[in-house]
Amino acid sequence: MNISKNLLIVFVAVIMLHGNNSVAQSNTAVSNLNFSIPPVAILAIETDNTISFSSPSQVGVVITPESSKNSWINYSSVVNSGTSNKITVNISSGQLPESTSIKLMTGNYVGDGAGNLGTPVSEITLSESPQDIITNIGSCYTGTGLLKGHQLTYSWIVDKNYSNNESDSGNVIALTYTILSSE
Amino acid sequence: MKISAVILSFIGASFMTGVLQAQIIPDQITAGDALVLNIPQVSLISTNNAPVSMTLTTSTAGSSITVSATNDNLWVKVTSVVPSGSHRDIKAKIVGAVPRGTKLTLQPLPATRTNSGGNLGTPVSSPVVLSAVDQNIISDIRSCYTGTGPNDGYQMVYTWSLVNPSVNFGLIEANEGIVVTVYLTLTQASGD
Repeated sequence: MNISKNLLIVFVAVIMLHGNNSVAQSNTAVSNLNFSIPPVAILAIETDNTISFSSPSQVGVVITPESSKNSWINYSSVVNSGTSNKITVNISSGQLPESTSIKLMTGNYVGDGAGNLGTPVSEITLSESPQDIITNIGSCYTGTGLLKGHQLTYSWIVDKNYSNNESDSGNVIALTYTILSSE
Repeated sequence: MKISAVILSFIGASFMTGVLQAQIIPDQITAGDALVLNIPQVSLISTNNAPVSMTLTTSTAGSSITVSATNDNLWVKVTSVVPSGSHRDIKAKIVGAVPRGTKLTLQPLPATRTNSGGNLGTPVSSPVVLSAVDQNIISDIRSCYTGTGPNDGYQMVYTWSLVNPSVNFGLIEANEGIVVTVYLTLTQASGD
């Protein structure tokens, strides 16, 4: 009888101790935080000339001989791991006078941006087919406005065969700049 | 002899009755018994389960993505009972990687007073950069309760930000499904 009673006391004591321990323990609340960095690919042409926007990743710009050197391309880019963006340009409307062409020189990046900025290609002759002008753009931004990003320098080239008799004074050419994934 | 036997039996029966009384009655109704009042320790923590989502992006060509995003939707509720001369803390740690080039900080606000009572402790004075190691975010919690409403308790202000973007922006990767788990622990009571 005494043994049973003692066992019972021990049992109750164990339960009480165990109970006390469980409420004395630390307890934890768990919550999940969700982070999102969406891909970004947007550009803008900074110039004194007419600009029209068709989508954030595509900019149309009308150039004239006076556009000369006062154009800059700004962009922001956030890429997925292991990928890059590039910028292309093509003549999207207007027709060049016969025996003339436009060359585009894309300058090296300058500005107050950061990140893995793109690499300009050497001078190209514009055509209706898109051509790369800046490649290997990682996650970066150029800064906004003139003197930020890459300078665009247009050169109007007139062949020897060009006839001055033609009247082309009102000729305008529209270019479309597009930023897109290199993949 | 027979009479003696009967008397003995009677005395024996009386004795046994006495024994029975000795076993039952004093345990139940005897005046002067001690009452055992038991207030066990209590250590309970939970949240309002609010989803916490933050996004860093831009819509301006040439601009950086947002330098920081803040979310203060999560509230933490506790009930604590501690032994005399002891207190608890709330510690925070994360499991899962914060995206490269970014950091996550947590600044708890003092507990609301509307539905609370007791010694609710003191939040850290400046935001804590969360890591895989437990760090104190609220100290000196004693016996208290915060209330149970969705906006009772300690409001958690999370800030997710770029770390020195002029140097690290190239580390940023597009990723729209990043999950980091935060563990908020109400610690065992420890002596002051």
